[in-house]
Amino acid sequence: MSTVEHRCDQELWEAAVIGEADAFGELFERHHGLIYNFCFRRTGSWSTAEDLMAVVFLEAWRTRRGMQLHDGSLLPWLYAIATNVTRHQHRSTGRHQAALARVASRVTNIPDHADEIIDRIGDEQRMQQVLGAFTQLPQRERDVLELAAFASLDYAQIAAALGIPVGTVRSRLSRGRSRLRGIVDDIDKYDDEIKEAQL
Amino acid sequence: MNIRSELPPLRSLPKGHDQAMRAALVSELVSSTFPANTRQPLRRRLLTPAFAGIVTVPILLAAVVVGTWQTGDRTPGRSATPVPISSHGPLPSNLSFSCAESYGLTTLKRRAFAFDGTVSLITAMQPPADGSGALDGYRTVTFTVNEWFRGGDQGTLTVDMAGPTGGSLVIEDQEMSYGVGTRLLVSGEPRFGGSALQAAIAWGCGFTRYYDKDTAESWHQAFSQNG
Repeated sequence: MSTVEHRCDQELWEAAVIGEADAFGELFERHHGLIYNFCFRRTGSWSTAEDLMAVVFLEAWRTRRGMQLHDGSLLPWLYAIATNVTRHQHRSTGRHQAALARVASRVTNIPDHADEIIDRIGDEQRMQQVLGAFTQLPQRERDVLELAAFASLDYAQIAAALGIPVGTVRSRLSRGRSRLRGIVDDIDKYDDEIKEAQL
Repeated sequence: MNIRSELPPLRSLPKGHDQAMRAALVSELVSSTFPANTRQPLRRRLLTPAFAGIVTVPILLAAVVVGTWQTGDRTPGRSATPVPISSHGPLPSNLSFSCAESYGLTTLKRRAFAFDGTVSLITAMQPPADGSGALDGYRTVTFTVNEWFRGGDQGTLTVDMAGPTGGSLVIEDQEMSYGVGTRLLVSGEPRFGGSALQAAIAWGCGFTRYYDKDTAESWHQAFSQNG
């Protein structure tokens, strides 16, 4: 049998569902970083993002019977869950409050360097500014734009994650960008970066 | 303001948190402290037309399934406690379509494949090699076959069928008509003709149903009589 590191997401998930602990651990290892950063970019708080990242994996397990791969990857499904979890933070964390408390009790806090703390505070201030623009968008356009801009998903991945046709992704992205045009000064440069990200 | 350039850099979890978090989550999840979400389907949704499929060739079996619009009710006040997926009758679908044939043992016997199987995996539908594209709302579903009635003899099988959540990967606030572990009686046709399991697509309209012993026996008898 191959080691967990060399198995694809599908193999790992199948193994996890039948109780192979290392397989779920490897899936967490493989994807938690991107989900953690996506949760941060959706909320503007590193501490909130850490809790929500844990909730995403708890929710993934709760809804495991509905797991759906996209191009062999679990990631779009995790982003879909993360989009929902960050949109409904209180409900999501409330559902898993007891589990989160048990997880937190196992995590030992190791003091960060002062520089690291300062950097993270700066991140949060910058992210709040960015989110200020997005909060003016309708939620459906915001979800599409944030998956594009914050997670760099392509059209097909966003369509799969949100369960909408690719054409709808395109139209929501277009409308969202038009609305942002009145909010974001340097929209041309932003457009170019979106295009670079194959969006 | 340039949003992409304003984004803070990607960062890792704080020191020591990643391994501790991994261990804690694995312990939490694999010990199965809570059951999987297995809500019973309670609503049908407004959705776009489903699909049209035509099967010709030696038997000249043609089946066209044309989408229509339907509405349905959603029962309020769902229990917070997951309940088992419905275990009787036809598999409901969030995709609505009119049926080329009505379900019955006579029409069932015309299907190219039929089996009793348990869902083991659901993935995004893979577009067929002929470039015809994936069907909206459909998923590729892998089954562990408990009994073959017609069309195959392998232990596992992959077919395309209407997805359990109407096409979305998001499960929140949605009901699933089936999931990993659901036992179904499945019948259908090759999407483009050819051998029974070539681009196999499970039919709705009652031709794919929740497993129950009596129905499984009736399927067994029907296909035995059909030779």
